Amino acid sequence: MKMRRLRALVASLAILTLVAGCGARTGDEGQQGSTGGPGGQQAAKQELVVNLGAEPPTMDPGLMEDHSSITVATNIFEGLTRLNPDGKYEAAMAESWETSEDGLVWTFKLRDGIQWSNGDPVTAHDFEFAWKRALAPEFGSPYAYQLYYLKNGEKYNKGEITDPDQVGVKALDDKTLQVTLEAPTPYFLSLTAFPTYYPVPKKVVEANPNWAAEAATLVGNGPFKIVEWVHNDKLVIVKNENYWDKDTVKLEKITFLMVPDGATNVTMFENGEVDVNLGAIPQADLPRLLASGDAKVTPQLGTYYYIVNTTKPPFNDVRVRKALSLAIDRKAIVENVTRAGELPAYAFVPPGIPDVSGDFRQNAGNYISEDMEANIAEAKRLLAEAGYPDGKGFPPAVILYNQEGAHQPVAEAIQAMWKQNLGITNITLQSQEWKVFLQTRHNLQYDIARNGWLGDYLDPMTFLDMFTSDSGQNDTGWKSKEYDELIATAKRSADPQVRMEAMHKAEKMLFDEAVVIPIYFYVNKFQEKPWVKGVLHPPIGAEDFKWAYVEAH
Amino acid sequence: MARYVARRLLSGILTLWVIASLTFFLSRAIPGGPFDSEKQLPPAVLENLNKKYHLDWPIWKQYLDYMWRLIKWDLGPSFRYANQTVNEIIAQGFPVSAQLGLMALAVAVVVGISAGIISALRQYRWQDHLAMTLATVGFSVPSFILGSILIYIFSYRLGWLPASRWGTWDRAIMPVLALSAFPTSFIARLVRSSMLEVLQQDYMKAARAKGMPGYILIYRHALKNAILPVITFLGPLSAQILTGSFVIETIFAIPGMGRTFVTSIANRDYTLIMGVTMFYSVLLVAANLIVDLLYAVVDPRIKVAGGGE
Repeated sequence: MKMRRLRALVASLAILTLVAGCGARTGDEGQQGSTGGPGGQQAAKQELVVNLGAEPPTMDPGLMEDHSSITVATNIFEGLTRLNPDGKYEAAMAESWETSEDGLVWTFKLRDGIQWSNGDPVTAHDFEFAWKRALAPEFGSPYAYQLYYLKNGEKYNKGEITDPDQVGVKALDDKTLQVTLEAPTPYFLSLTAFPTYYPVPKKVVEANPNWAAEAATLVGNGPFKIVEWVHNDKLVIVKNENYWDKDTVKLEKITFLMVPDGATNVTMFENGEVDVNLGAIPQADLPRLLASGDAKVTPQLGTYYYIVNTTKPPFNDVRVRKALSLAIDRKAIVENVTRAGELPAYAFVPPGIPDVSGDFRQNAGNYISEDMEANIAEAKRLLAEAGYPDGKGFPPAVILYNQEGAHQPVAEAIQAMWKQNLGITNITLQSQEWKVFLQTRHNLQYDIARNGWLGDYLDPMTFLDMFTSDSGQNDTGWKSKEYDELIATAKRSADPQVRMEAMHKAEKMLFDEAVVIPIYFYVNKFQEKPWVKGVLHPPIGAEDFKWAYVEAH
Repeated sequence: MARYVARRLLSGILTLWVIASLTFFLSRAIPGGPFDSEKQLPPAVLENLNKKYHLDWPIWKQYLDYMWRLIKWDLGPSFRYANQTVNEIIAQGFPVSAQLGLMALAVAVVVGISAGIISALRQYRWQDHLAMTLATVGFSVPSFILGSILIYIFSYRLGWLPASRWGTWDRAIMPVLALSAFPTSFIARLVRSSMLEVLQQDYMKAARAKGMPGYILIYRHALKNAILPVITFLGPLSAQILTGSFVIETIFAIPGMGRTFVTSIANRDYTLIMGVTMFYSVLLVAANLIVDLLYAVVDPRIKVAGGGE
């Protein structure tokens, strides 16, 4: 009895958090974290210990591609633009910009007096140098394709042209950067806040190509600068006195730790050894920590979804795919299985991306109904039509997922729902090691597989161009000329009306053809002491401490 | 002696070559590559990366190149840690793992041997029962559970010790305990049983009959013989414990080599897998050689005269 009451309490608290999570999501972009809330006095000691969870593999903005590197880089570097607490990309290294009529040429004016942490001025040449360097084939940047928006960027990276001066980036003088794009890119300002677009100190890098390996040689231009880096143990950054907006920066020092183990993280947080934990939190502890307020969530621009191998019977039948999708109770999964305040996904593009006006998701609404009863009835009808009434005769199939993370409970829930709602009894589960899993899925050697995608920039395109016929990301086997054409139309056009219409049509197609089975929209999960204020946990990109401070406690 | 050492060195090098070749081909035979991730790289970018790290070369050329560099102990760049070489990563991680390992080893040897002796001398009395019960626990409880329990008690409940990381003596206590539990128990049981065996020997009875004082008897005659199996065990144990424990280093966030080894496999960081494996193998071969030489010193029955025995 006691146990049941406790459980009910935990469940209702979890739902409360969920509702709170939804609340944060409505609003234009969603206000992340509280900046300068009322009442709070600043503590005398403005220092934080933050657990990253992993050693950043590199501090070179041109080479980085993982979350822990990008988190540190966000705080010690700065691009032309920066994501601010209101969710807008504001002027950062750039002071202002102009766009040509056709949307192809962008001219950025840099601020006066901007400096590297070693005192050298930041110039437009540093940007030109950084972008061309990241595109150079021999440099081997994994994220080079983020610069394919630049004119001839892709050709240069592929080795089709060898003259870097043909790439669409040019410093007209120390203060003016002219960027020429391949196609109009309305979300370009969200790209210029991304690490691959950061400047690097030309003089320093030319003198020492391995400049980013250690704290002693690393030079940045962000709100903080690196002072110590003990690999696999800690990385210390302090306020950068050369930063143009240093008056906004209140924190004096952040010590990043790299503690990988979830249980250890939770203990360190509760012991007060860590103020902010961005590393792992054990799935088993999450509901408890969310309920007590020791763990928090903010929306993340990402979708957790399932795909089926559309080249293989019975999944080549769109009715089967639709039935499988309809028979999943997404609400039950986020409330009973994942339990971290994720939003059930009834469409593919997550909320929080602007449309011509308003929110792309809200404007389009759901593509799958929230009414489970109707969904199940429809799913049963479709399955019977496809020749498997009440699941009879449905061939054995395997749900494939990777061992790491909590994918198995979701797979088990889906297996049970298909059994209960559709009468399909011979679905089995199989887990594989991460890299083996990726290859199996990519080679279409699976029946049903889990998948997940985090957006790269603030535009629906980052969720839609992955399903074109030639996309390396399309592991469904589904190919459609019509879909390719819609994506191409959106990419060619500078007219927001035309772009958004094409992308809405494209997303609808994914559901008419049941190419994807979305489950939920991701959230950022983290722990943060109540006196830590103003840390940005944005839906895309990494945690930003520029506006953060410690409240007296 | 010199010929024996030379022969052992030669066979050691042969062993290392076999290990290097096997690891080289096996690591590349696992599905998935170093640059696979949820976000598939465009083919052109992947090609550039393969070129940068010479993964576009035919496999025999990569192998010969690697072997040549291995002879010079140039272990190449890490794929995952783009700004670091494998030599640098080992140079950072090994001293930490070795420091932790040496402490654990010292605890294991001192505590293990003492407990073993006491158990043997007080056979079937409470000292023996206590020591052997503890040894059974230490022997059978996996180190990750022991580590978690220690953190729970001493950091979470009592708040006496920091939960993780490395660098000060109070941070070392829990990982050293967790890491030494198994070898301590093993050594204690080993010493106990071999002590009991030695104590039954006729020469012990003779010595005792002659009126030799107890501690000399124990130290000079019993222990010296009883210690032999421990030395056998210490060889591979030292190499293993010095190169770090993945579990302990992960739980306590210790920047050692054990963690690097396991994550390098998950990352398919070929050069790092190779580098750490070879480093470990060299240590293991060396440790075994030293143990064999130690036998000669400790056990007069063994003569390591080279040539025909």
